[in-house]
Amino acid sequence: MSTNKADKFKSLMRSPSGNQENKEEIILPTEIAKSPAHELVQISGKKKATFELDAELHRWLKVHALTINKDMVQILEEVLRKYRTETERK
Amino acid sequence: MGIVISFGIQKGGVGKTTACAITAHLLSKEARVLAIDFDSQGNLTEFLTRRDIYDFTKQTILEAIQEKNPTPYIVRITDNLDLIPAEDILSTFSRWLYRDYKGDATQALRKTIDMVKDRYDYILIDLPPNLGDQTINGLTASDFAVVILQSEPFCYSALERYLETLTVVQQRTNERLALAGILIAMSDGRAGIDNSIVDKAKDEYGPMVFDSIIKRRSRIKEFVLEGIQDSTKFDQGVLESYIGFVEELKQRVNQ
Ligand SMILES: Nc1ncnc2c1ncn2[C@@H]1O[C@H](COP(=O)(O)OP(=O)(O)OP(=O)(O)O)[C@@H](O)[C@H]1O
Ligand SMILES: [Mg+2]
Repeated sequence: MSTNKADKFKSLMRSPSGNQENKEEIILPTEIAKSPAHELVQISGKKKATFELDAELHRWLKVHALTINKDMVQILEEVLRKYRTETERK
Repeated sequence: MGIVISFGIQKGGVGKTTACAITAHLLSKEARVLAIDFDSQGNLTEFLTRRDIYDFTKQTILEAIQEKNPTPYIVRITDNLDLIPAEDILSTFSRWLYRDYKGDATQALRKTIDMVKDRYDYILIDLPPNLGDQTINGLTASDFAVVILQSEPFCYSALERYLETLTVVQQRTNERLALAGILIAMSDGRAGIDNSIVDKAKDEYGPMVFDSIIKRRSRIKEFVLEGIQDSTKFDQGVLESYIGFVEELKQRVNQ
């Protein structure tokens, strides 16, 4: 039973001898470069987001971030995580 | 030397934690097992200890990694089963990695596990439902990955992407990583959809798919409150598909 997908990921299976066979040849570098997972390893869990924030909130956040010596995005992430936890508990 | 096996897929609520907990329980009947909760939801911690995750505040895998010493954070569940817990605070892992950690950001968990590897036969890692730093660290620390495929269409597309992630990890951060296999977990009801996805997975992925298929049994949910029970015939029946899976898993990782 040898199919496309089984072939594509063959390098992930350990052969009975304990070695992994031909792993470089299974997935083409171009395929990896395209894969979202590659992007993930590269950017390590960060994703660029662009959106317009209420100007007053933005000003406040900027000053507040300075006073507590954090990045604006750190504060946003914290608040969002808290919000997510609350939302998921409901 | 302990064999490190992670349970993952970026799709949520498909039974990763349940499979990880029951596997830890079953393996610990005849081997020394360490279970590591690497999801900030702390579900594995709750399942195995049946305590509030906030009982473990400042006593978690995050502190173990930060202090480069897991030993003080190991919680004994039974004679043969230990746990390193998690709670919400693990969600700060990425920030800590990039702001404060001095080494390779993919290797932090692996270095921590290496320190206790020789005390166990199996080390199981429960991964969160995303492809972020925790999953990359978890896979980088693993010898084998178990991928859970719930028999639903969205899970099927997640599967291929997860396998691509495994390939990237294998090529860049952990060449020892191998796929133990794809474990199919049934979603209830609509047997038609379920079966067609099972057939498709078996057809496309062939021997990568475990023969055992996890069945849905409502009793499993009670185990979260009562602990995993296997003294009655009924409960042994409930666990039957997990028992079959663990037998296959043992064979595959000890080859
Ligand atoms: N075999 C099963 N039979 C019945 N219910 C199950 C079974 N496996 C898991 N469940 C239930 O499904 C729900 C999700 O399971 P679980 O927490 O193990 O999934 P998960 O993939 O770890 O979720 P997450 O992605 O949030 O970490 C839980 O309520 C659990 O009790
Ligand atoms: Mg889980």
